[in-house]
Amino acid sequence: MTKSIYDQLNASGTVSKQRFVETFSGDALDTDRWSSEVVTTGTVAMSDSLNGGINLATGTTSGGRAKIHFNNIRQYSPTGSAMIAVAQRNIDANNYSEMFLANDYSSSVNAQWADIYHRPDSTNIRLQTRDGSGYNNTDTGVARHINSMAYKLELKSASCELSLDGVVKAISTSSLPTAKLQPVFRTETDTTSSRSLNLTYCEVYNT
Amino acid sequence: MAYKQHFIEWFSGKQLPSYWTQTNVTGTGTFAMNDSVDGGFSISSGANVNDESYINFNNKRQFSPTGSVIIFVSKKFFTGGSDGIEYGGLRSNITNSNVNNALLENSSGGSEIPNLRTSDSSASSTTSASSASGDTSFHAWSITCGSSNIILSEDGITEVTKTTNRPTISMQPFYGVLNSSVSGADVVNIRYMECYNT
Repeated sequence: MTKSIYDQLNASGTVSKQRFVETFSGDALDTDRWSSEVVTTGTVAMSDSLNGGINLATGTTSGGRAKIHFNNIRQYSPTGSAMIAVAQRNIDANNYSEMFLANDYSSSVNAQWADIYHRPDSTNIRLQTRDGSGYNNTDTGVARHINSMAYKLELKSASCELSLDGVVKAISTSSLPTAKLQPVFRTETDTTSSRSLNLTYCEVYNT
Repeated sequence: MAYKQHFIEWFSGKQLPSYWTQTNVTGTGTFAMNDSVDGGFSISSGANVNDESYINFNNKRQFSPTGSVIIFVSKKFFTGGSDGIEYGGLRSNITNSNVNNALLENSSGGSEIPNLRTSDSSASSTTSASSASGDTSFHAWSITCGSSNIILSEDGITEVTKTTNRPTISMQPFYGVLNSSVSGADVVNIRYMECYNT
């Protein structure tokens, strides 16, 4: 008897909450699901390479950015949701790559988010939470790198956890978002050569 | 065992995927992804009696009348069975509602009790759920089309096993709402659908 995927994801009798799975495979980004945007001359394109997924690449102008998001369709809870992403940055230096569950994809003013933070101002990968008025950075103790990694954000009622390759590395209990959230991925360069972020998997669900 | 047709829809993202057709059978409904936690996709009927709007596969019928399952998690926003009817399940033709189908009818005739409606090529009939309530909460519905019966379950509980007027030709998934009162538009939400041949 064929089993449903529903029954494999949910306990018997459970009414499932919102979830999606994105495998970033095919000839182009699913633009029904995702909006993409670039600043200057970046690209968002499916990678023609083994385990390449989708490639978010900046142009060669400092400040160039590439981003994907749900265009502010926000179906995920700030107090009970999780995001799993498998990602890889191409170059570490000058590469501002971040992966969010965020309320607004377009602005950092009064932002509310949980952010997997790779920025040159921190030697290590950080978890940053923002609640609209302040923010909290939590260091993972794991140095920034350019290897493929499985990241998991989990937003709970009083905390936000970041796991790296299955191990909890940072827990934030302050400046937690309170507004509904969407997945957002971005990369930015602050030099005159391109930087990129490849994504091979994304899953988000309410708990 | 050879793999058979199987699809999943998460109803999450900026808009409904383009492999769905949005059909206003009567009136002008509204179709939109919900900007709310656990909101999924919303369908609102037109405001007039018998206005009906559905999402469907534009008569691409890949699912068996005698060996398939459809599961969907959905809710209706209206109460009172005479106000509107939430429909979801498998149907051969989106504009001919009572020919070759197996579907949830939630609810009709002034009752809050959901029905399993099935239709063959010439006749249609319903059987009411034994214990389910057609309330305004999200529920996980499943309809299993077998070789000898069709089963409707709500939240994992079997509610109806029906043997009469079973469909005989291939079908497509669909979901939507029929307005059955003069009280304005009726709204339904769906946040998961899975359909597969067994």
